[in-house]
Amino acid sequence: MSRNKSSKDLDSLTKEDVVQAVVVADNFSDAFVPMTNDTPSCLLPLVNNCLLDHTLEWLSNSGVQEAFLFCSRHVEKVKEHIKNSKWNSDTNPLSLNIIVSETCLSLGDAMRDLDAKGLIRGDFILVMGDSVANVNLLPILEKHRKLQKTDKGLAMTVVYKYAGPSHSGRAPQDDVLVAVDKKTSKILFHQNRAASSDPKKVHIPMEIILERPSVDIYNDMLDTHISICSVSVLPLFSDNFDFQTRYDFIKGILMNEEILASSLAAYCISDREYAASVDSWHMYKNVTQNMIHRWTFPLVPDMLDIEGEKAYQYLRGNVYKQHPVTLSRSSIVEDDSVIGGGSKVGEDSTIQRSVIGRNCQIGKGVKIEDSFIWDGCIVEDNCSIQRSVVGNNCTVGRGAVLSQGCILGQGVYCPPGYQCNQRLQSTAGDEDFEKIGESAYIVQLDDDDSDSEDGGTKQIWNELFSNENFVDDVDGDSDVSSEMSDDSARSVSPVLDDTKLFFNEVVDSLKRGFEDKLHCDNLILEINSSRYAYNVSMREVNLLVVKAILSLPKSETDSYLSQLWQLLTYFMPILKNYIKNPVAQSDCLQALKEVGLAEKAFLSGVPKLLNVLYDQDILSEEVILKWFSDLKAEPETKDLCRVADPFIKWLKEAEEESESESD
Amino acid sequence: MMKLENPKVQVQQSFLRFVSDVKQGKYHGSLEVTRKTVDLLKSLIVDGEFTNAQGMMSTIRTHGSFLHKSLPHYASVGNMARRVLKIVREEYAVGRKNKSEEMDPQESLHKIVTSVDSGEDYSSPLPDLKLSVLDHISEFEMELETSIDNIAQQAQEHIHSNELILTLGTSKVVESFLRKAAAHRKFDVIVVDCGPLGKGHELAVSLAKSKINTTVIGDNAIFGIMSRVNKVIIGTHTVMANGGLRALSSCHTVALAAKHCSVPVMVLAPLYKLTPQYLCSYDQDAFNSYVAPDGVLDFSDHSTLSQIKRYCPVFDYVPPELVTLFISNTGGHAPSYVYRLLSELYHPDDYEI
Repeated sequence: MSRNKSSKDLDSLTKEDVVQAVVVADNFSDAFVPMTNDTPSCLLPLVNNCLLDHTLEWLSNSGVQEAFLFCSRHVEKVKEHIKNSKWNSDTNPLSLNIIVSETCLSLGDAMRDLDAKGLIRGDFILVMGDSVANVNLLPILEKHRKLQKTDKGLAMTVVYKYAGPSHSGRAPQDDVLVAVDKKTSKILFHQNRAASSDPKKVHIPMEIILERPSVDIYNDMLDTHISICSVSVLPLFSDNFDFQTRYDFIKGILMNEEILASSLAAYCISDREYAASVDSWHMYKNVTQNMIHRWTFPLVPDMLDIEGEKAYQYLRGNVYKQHPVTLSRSSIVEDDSVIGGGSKVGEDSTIQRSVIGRNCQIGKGVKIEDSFIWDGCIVEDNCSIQRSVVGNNCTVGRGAVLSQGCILGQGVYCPPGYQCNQRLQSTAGDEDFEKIGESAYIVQLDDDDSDSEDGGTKQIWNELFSNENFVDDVDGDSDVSSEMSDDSARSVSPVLDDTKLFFNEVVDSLKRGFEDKLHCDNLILEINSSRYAYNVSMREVNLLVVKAILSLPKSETDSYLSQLWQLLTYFMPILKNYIKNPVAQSDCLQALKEVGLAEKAFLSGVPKLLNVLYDQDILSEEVILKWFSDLKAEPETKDLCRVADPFIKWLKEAEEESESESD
Repeated sequence: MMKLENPKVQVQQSFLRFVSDVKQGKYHGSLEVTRKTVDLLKSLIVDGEFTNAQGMMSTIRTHGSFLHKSLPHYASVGNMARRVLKIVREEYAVGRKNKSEEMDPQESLHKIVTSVDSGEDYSSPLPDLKLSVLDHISEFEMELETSIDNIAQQAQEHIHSNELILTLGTSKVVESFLRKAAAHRKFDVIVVDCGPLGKGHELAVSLAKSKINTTVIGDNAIFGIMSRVNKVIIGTHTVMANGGLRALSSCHTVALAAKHCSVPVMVLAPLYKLTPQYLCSYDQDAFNSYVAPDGVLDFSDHSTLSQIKRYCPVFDYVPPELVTLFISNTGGHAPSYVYRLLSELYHPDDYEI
């Protein structure tokens, strides 16, 4: 098969270097609470096999020879699992080393720890322990090395997969927009739309497009959370202790490309290959479906080769059954379902689009739809389970109804007849969760934004099943959209704060620069770095810098104007640096206007200021005239118009003169 | 040799490795897999300590059935285990006969008829067994190596000048068969592309390189072109016990179209592809394999994805009545003769492995 050419690819890589991979066992988030209370996230089952096994299987299939498994939480369980698996045997082509660091709280910590341990010798592949994929990594590694030859600073190749903008395989938090240089595959711009202020708008800096012959801007990419890293990645993490996540890293590198002397490249895997990382319930559901639909081939249940496990039988309608399954005569199993070995399904029960674990007891008249029931569960008669997750060894009492994103942690006993759409766990935990029965407590997520009374559960449900496959949930969808609009309204103010902070910073820098007689180039650098720190757009920078310069002199004294001239001559290089094109010029004039409105003392200086700026070729004639005509239209700028009038007249006369001269 | 601690599955590591390699697609073509299987079984005999045929056979059977169960889609793997078992049986019988001849050279016809078949009991010790079995296996390996050539040798008998030959997908046997014929005759070839998996293009390119007039057509054009075709020559993945084929998908289409137009269908099948299995139902476990549907629909094509169920089967079953002739390394056979070949190749006791 064409997708597996690993042996050939291996030869083309040099013999002596070993392909190394770092598998981070933890996802450092509480997305899977309460499941992850006593189980590491990489050991959660996906289609009845734990995520880590899927990841390792893929790595060994794609030619990785040495893997470092980085554990931080529930280390013993991971170790125990590896010990009992085939990855422990000597003859396995993949040699697996376990690294333990219990203090790590983020990916950044893990990378710093790895750097300190010094185990990585060359380029390595960084994946999460929850990846499900069948992509061959060697061609990507080769491409990375090829790019490295031309670009010494290449730190990381980020692996993407094509998936349309509304593709169900894309988690909302992974909605990214990426601009890539077509020739060098260098990432120029990367924006996570969920994190940005206005998800409907994208601001791509002009210089990205202007400086290059061709730029690809992608809105249809799914971040696979796989990256090929150069050795320099680990020191970069160590040097920048504020890099916590992979997203921080990408953002940080792109912002400070020159300072860190590093760059990123993008690689898009073909439609024939699959890769995804299960880091949320949304992805859990999607990856499960993709696996059942066999996109992950050969990582499908009937091809898996796990020791001591019987293979699955693949039947029509994408139904997978493991031997021995007992289905009663009148039970119906249809459409994309998986049933693990040793499970029993009672009379008149229907199972649709669901995954049932091993040794589950499903009673009579049970209805299970779009749900995930893990190993050893007991579902008593006449229960209805829809769009829910039931953890290992749970018992769902007779007639209980679980719906809309209900999640039962391991060992929960859901009382008979209980109707639930929340997360339940079996122990009370540290906080006093509401008790609804013997070993069943409602989990309250300490999310900051779950302030609305039922926002929490809605969100889970949304995460699990925000899929247009389910047409019947129209009201649910409207809830989602209203939430979205709330979000955007809330997030406007922090942006304003950022610009304000930036303005204060610029004023401080300029003040200090003038007092200490610092070189203007250094000041520009300082302003630029604070610009990145507060994520301020270029136009705002133009506006704010001019404003800052103009508002520096102390207004109450008579010497305002003389101070202003002093400052202006001193800061002229800065102005020249920022005010380059007509857009920036109009920004500059806008600043002039705003200051003029606020500062009476400034008004008398306006004509001279305009004259100076005009003489210095900072402002062009057309822009000034345009600005002036706009000014006239507004009533509150009457004063400004009055003082600027002589200059404008002079300007017009000069123009006519020059015209007549040329005639 | 390392053995697993679990006493139930005493399978050697090299076998486990082989299984995972095959699953990962590290071997190309069924001949390569077959050859490697024989190698592994041979190494079992070389490394093992056997006093009699029974021990040897049970070891081969355990490993053979392990391979067969782990690689259900590769029928030739199970076939090789059956074949090696048959070789052991034969050598044992020959060895016993030699011995008994020494003791009693004058065996009467009556004795032969009435004697209980000594082949049923393999427990008596036979010191030379290992050597003779290894010799026989080497012979068999030679046969495997030359099987494609032997088939290609017969090309001139089946392909005549100015004929239009239709074939599909890519197959090493078909390729060498056509090449051999092209050395002497001039004829045209049409290659059916066999989407989404089929690599008709690959075959067409390599045929064109040997100066054969080649045309590639899509699967939808099969029926249209069939009336002009003189012969259909295809390879197969497996030949079932009734003479049916398990072959690349769209073979059934080709065979049906050929039947409609009364075009002879010839199947090139080296003997190692003959398996004593039958197709009982289309839902039969491990008859077909389904791969990722990426060849049919793009993963990124979301709007259609959510509404459509996609299957991408690899194999087709072609019933025996649609096949005109099997060409094996020993000559041409009718589908109805396959059962006879099977009984020559394998011992009936080994059919269920």
